[in-house]
Amino acid sequence: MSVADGLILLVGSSLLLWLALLGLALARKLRRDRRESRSVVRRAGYEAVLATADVDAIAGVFSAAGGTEAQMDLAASIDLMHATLAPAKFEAIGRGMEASSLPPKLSADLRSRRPITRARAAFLLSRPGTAAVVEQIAPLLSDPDPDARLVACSGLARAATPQAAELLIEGLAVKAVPPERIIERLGAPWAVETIVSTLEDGSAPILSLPTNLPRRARREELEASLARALGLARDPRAAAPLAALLRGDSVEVRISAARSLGRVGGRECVPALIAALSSEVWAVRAQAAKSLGTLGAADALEPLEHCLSDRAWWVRANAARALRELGDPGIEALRRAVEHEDRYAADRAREQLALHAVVAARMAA
Amino acid sequence: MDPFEGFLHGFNVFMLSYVLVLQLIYTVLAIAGWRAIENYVKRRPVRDYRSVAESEMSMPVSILVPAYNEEPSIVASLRSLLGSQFIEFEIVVINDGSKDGTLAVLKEAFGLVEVGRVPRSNLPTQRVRAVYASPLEPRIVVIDKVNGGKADALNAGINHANFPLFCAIDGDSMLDAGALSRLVWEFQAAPETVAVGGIVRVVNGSMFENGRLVQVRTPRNLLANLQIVEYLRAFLGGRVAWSKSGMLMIISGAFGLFRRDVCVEVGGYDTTTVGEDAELVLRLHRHQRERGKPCRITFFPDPICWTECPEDLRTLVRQRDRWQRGIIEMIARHRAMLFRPRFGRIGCVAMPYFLVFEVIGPTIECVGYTLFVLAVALGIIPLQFALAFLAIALTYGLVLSFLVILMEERAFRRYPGWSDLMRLAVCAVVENIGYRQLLAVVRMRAWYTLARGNQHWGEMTRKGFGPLLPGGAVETVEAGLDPTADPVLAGETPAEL
Repeated sequence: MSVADGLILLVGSSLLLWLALLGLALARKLRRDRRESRSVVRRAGYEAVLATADVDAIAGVFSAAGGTEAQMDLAASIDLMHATLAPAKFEAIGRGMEASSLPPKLSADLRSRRPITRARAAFLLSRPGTAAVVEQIAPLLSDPDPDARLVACSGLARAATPQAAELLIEGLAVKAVPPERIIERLGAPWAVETIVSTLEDGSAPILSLPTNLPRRARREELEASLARALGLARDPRAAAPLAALLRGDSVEVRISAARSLGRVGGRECVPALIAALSSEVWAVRAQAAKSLGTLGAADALEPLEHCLSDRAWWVRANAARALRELGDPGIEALRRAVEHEDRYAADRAREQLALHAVVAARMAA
Repeated sequence: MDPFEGFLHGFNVFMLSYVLVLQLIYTVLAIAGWRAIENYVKRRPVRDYRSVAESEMSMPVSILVPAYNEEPSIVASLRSLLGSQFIEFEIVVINDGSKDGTLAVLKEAFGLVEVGRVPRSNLPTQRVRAVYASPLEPRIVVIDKVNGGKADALNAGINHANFPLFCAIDGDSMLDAGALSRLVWEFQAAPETVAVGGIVRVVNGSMFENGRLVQVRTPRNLLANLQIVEYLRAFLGGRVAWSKSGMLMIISGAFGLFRRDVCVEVGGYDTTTVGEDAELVLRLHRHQRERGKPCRITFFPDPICWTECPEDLRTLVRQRDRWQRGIIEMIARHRAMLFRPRFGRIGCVAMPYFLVFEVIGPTIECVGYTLFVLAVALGIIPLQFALAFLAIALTYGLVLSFLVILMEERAFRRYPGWSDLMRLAVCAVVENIGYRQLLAVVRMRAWYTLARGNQHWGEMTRKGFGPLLPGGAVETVEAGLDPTADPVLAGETPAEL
């Protein structure tokens, strides 16, 4: 073989290979484009039917959603409806699903050996937020697959029943998923009563979940998490239990309670937070100062002014910021603090006054 | 056979073995990467990243933006960052002694006011002249300091960062709106996570409107297109698999999320190396393992940081020279970890791989190319064998390059046009014939640069992200990437299942 023959062979074979690979890439792209187009059309159709709140028509849609793609399209459409439809109309989606032939199939999928099949089934089953699915998806909270556990967690929150709240609290206790993912879901008015009764009960929750998950939350961890959830719920019923937690022994729980009281608001919160400004733990004082600022608690003016010369930097900084958030009386207090004998208090006051001045100037302009 | 011929013969046998082992490693990495991405794509629709983006329980992030002479682009970059769909973040801009008007444009755009912010840690840095906050945009903090280089600027940023996680990005980079939420997800899913890297994509050729990325396109410039394929190979065909096996050694300096407390514990970025990003990652591995602490450093294929790549050869050569010096310095400084079982797979697999194929590899390749041609010319290697060898090498390279293009098409579809696919397909060939060889020469040359004691970064020519938005803070909040461009936050496309 001559050099020229060899080069021709090399270039020719490479070109053929390149063309074959290019053909493969183009074919895949074409297929994906078509699937996406079909998906867009399908979702538009689903959304039109779901918006009618016609239970029979919705049941027809659920029964016809056989393949994985169709099911995920349906789940996405339900999520969209969840954000846009009135609750009464949205309930029709749940009734439609229950009247369809899909739930038995999805229930079977929940026992699949493939984790992603279990997760997808729980995902679609829980989208309409019906109470009936709580018991079906609860076992997934202790599934070996983390994504399946997360889907179960969000599905239970969608159901928003006391039983779902109890299960989520159990999920916190056994650390089924990252605690933040449960706390953010428990942080809603529907869960407040269950959380409060768990806190008042004082004992560890009775675990009905299978115990194959290795970790357990300490009681303090669980209480701190529940305190955080109560704060996210922003429900006045949480004020008294949070104030009680703020007087407790655990620093972890007290910090969470102080933070949450700032979110809950109401008359009961302010005295508890003012009392927490005298805590021996700087983190509790700093958090209490921040929360008082968030609440705009005028009663806290004097104690916050006192905190400007606290020995902890974060307490001073949060107190100064809180005073700015109190409005005119707070600004006056900051002006007085500029002359404070404590250099650190004066620094913090000056910083907040500078920020206040620029904001005021902008607002005036 | 005379001694020279014997040497040539022996070296070519060695080269053949070297290439075979390297291609085998690439194949294993590509297959592992493919499997990991398939798994991720299947799981993505049931993952609720939106809740992480919106949840008050998500860990807040300090975004560190070191800026040196970034006057033309810094405001647009910050406005883009402010458009991030994440509940709680602050942007700490570190003006590293810029000689241009970087600080002035920041003051003008955000109405900065000097504040007394006390650093939360004491990593040694050049003197901080002042700290500014913006009353118009409370999420922005600007540190003005004496010039000390990128690592020094990042250390100053770490000192003044308020939040438990920090994201180091380049001053000329843009983040996808949903990027932070997905990286934070990794930290909360596994508390032992110390750092997470995200994919960096080339933004050249894309369309901007008012500083916002509105359409992703491949550029017309060949060199930039070649780098797109190269980045895809590096991230999808390499880092995904390294990460999956717990051996990720590099998180790009352009985009990574780190736990602040651990980084402070290890002393922050090393200011004496040009590869401070990779060096920090390796130091984190070392520090955690030496103390018997868990250390998860991982790579997430989806979060995207857009960055400009060099479009001229001179800038590209300078950039790669710097990258290579960084890798050499990293391995040299942590050579004590090599082959030490206490450092696990990092010490026994990943570092030896880097030593052989990334540090010494370019030199072996360059010498190999030369001696291969010489051996063919002298008839020591038969022509048929040489051509067959080239054909196999090219086939392998082409298949791997196409594999990552297919991965991108399957999982992310960031370059949606048909012309984009054609351009990438052409570049898959050029990348294997010419570009890789050119880079091998550049990387070999880095030894020479290193021996001369050159620690310079070199200049980077930038085009920026288009014109700035007029007006003040209201627009800054609304600006940024179009959220609908983010497939996860805009609602999944189930067709990807």
